[in-house]
Amino acid sequence: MSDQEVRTAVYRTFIETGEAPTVDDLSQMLGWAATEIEAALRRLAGDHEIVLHPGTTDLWMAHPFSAIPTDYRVDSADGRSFWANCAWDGLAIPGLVGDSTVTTRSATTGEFFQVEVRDGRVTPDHLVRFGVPARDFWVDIGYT
Amino acid sequence: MAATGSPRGCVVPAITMYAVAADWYRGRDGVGWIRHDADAASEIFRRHGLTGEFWEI
Repeated sequence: MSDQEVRTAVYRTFIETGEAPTVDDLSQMLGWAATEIEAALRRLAGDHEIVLHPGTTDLWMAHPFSAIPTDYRVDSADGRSFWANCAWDGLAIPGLVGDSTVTTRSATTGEFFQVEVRDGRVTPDHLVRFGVPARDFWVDIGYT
Repeated sequence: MAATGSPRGCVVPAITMYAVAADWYRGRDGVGWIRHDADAASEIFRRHGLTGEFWEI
């Protein structure tokens, strides 16, 4: 048993369903005891490979995926839907799930708009603003 | 269009971020994936023209 099996199961569930697996889901998928799954999730969170809701073993983020609704929604061409954590993650999800439409909100006007990712092309080519320097991404990952 | 940046913020074309993200998350769902160390992360940023203080790890 390795923590990487848990991480992989988390990502495969996000990719297949658009939703985060629960501890029980992972326990059934891998045949591990729930306590072993929880311990692995805590270690993965400690290594910044996933993010848990504070004080729980409930998944919050497995970058680029978010377990909770955000202003960054990704709809794949084959009908799956995902939540991303930020604009960068919204543009990352198509790389993992295939051609997609990214719907997000303008930082300047507050209006929603869409970006299409098809065959490696991004249209229209909007600008993405980063407010947190790279070295500080994990200082407050929820804010980032 | 090159990325422009300062310690307080940086604006990057979406096509650039798509390319950065593809490199950053490649293999993330696989068993053999290893979290990027600072050097690897910096190399991905540099490869796509994201340089300067804002992108230093």
